[in-house]
Amino acid sequence: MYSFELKKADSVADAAALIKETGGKPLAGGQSLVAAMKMRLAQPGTLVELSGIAELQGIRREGDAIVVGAMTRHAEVAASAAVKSAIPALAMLAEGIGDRQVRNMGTLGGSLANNDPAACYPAAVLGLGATVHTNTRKIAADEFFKGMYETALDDGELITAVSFPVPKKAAYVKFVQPASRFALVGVFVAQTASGVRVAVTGAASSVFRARPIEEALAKSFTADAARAVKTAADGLNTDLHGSAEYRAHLVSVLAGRAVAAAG
Amino acid sequence: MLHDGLAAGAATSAGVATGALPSHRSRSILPIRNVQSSSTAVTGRFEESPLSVQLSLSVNGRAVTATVDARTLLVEFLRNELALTGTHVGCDTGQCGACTVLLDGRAVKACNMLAAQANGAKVMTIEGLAAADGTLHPMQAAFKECHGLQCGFCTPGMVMSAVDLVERHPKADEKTIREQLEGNLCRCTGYQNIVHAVQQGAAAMAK
Repeated sequence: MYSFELKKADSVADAAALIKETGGKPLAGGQSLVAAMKMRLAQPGTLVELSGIAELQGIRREGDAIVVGAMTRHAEVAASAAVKSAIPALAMLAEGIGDRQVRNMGTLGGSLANNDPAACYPAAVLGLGATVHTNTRKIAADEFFKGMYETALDDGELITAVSFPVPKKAAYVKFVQPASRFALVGVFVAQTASGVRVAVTGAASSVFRARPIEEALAKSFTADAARAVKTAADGLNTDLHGSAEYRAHLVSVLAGRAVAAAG
Repeated sequence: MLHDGLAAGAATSAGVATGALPSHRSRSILPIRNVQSSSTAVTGRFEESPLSVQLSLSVNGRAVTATVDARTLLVEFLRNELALTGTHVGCDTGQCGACTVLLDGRAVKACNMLAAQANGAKVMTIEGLAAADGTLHPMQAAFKECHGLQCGFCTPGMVMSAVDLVERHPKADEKTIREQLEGNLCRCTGYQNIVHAVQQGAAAMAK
């Protein structure tokens, strides 16, 4: 790991000012960033640590939404009574990220800002049509994920919280890549006030909505309807773990399983 | 002297730490000086600079203060600065869990976080688990009785992870234990007895 300066921020405003001043990178839980820095894939000159910022912590119910602070650890979301009662699919998704040690450090905001193509949280954010709150604006999920490790966040812009609208029903089913425990493919299905949403992670360069499955489920919210959709392999990932065709097949199968799990 | 990890580690640091470490970490080990019985200061290794950080944390119940390079990993700090070599570096990529320690009671991988991320926290390593009189923690005793180890390299991480597992899932069944131990790998593949040990340790911890 290359040397860097570490600065600890006390507030969101303080963190934003430090990042602007130094051109540094924010450090959330560090479960991806520290690993990348160890391999010298990332070499920030300054890290601005966010863990001391109280306003980024916590989970609360706000009307018809669950609002999760950006620095909330995966384990906290998984164990939260508020999340479990309002959006059990979100708690289950958090409980399935990485392993217990990773869940004890990793954060919602860190995962979303990193936008790993196989991460779980982007599927929940896009699948539920959540809103990403930053220190300067609110970004709709459909506008947030831009590509592989790319988001709509500007330089120095910090995620502060995510507002997840409570769906009528939802479920997330992940086909685990057993070594990394990332999603080989993961599908989040939700029946929301604004219609059916199906978000797929792990299959392409970034999370995306499976529109043909959404259309099928809008007509008939059944596992068979999801499975009957033939997902196109164009643009999906091929690697040593699976071909694009295999992933395409998994998308429809897992969407069907998610519909069944949503009940 | 499991109960007195810092002192025990310091006594063996020259023998354990210097010879075994890879060359890029083969700096001489600074002996730990017990400034007071309840606190340990590690000073003199790093000059204060923009690239250093001041650490103040509790390790196995002792207050520790130190100035370290900001890029120091928690596991490097524990092993190289405090000579607490019970915490192992297995894969060094956050996969195997041999470096698992408790951070404010939560199991974390010490190879995948900066020492600075533990600033102000309470860290517990395998050296801090046994009672003051040397009596093994129920989970350590269970691993011993169930032969929950073969080569033993993964054991400190397994035991620390198991303690956290049982705190969170006191009545975990075998399936849950296997799921929850996903972050700890045993290259000897001795999982059967490890799972038995966690079950027995959980029962003993409940008493």
